[in-house]
Amino acid sequence: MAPPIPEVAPEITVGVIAAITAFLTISILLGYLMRKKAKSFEEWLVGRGDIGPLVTGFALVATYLSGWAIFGNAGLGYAYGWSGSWLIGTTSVAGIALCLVIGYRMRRYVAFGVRTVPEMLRVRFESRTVQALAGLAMIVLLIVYSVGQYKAMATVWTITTNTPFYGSLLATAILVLVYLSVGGYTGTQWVSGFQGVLLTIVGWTLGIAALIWAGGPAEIAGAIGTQTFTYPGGNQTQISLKDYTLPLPPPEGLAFPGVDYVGVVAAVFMFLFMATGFPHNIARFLGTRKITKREYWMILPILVVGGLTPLWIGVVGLAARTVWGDSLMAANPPIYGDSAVCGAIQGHGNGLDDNN
Amino acid sequence: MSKIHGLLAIMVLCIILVPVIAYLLGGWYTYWGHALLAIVFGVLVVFIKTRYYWEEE
Repeated sequence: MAPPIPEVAPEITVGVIAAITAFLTISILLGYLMRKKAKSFEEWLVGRGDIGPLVTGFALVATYLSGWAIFGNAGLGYAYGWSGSWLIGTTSVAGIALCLVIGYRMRRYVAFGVRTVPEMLRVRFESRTVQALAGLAMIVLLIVYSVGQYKAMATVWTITTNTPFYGSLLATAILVLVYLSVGGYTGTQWVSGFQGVLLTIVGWTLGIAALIWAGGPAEIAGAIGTQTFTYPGGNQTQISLKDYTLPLPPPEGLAFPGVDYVGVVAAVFMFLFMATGFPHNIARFLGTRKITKREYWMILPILVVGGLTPLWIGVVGLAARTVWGDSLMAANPPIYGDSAVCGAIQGHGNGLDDNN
Repeated sequence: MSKIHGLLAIMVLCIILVPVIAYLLGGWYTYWGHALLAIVFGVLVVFIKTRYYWEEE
């Protein structure tokens, strides 16, 4: 018999509000500080080209660790078992290292008056058409991409505070608008650096704690090996979660890369090039100062440690599946596996209380 | 074959092995094995950049 899924308790709500308030306060203060330091609009826009490898590395980690990595991956592990790992991004480090190699060249274009990624492409290919197409592609990409981020933020807020979903969505949109308009490039870079450190610590801590909570790696592997896929809403199937492919029939199978090895290979290449393809990732290098080879190597371990964070969040989902079975797939509100990370935190907290 | 081609071949191998170990091993060995392959890929790409393509300004 699976233990009950924890309910939202007042102390959880207070804790979440306090944590988010502290997080945003530090972020806004950092942004405000950088805004005060900027002596001109130019400096506000791209900084002074004096940002070092540590801040650049962790800022890249933060822009890479979006709502997908720090929240959605638990849902992927929970709902799809091992086959969810293709979207969890177990090969993320390769892509983010490639981004380091290609992205560092961005700073050289600043000397040519470049301030954005489309401008860099205009200078590189001497074509305003390329610039316009890149700008258009970025608008389309980032609108779609933002949907996932807003959904992740609003979902966490809804699960942990019981606030209506659309109210949560509106609140997060306002917060993001304020955050982006305050600090400019340097502010965003420093805030991202801070968030990179924080998200890495949180992801690793949650993953390791979840591993212990669920009884260890062998327990999790055993449990995942005996469970089958359940559709959102609670309809169970006989499709086993034990393998790295999950042969879902259409239409669900058409949208899931882990359905066969063709999709799997496509997902591997997507993660290889995704980090470099994201303009907000390579833009982290616009304000970087000239660094030595030794400093360049320093960035790599930061990216390795940060790039493993998505895997730890995936572990949380696998652990939640071990402890609760497929209960979340039929839970209300209909957030399903995506609620695994919040539920695991609450469940783990309750478990510790019980032990005390 | 030059040294750089050998390194590039190892990088390609790191990608090819990802679905192969998923098929052959499974479980936690695959999950963290993928991470290990990605780290080897990352170290090699940075090594090639700093050793062969570093641009002094």
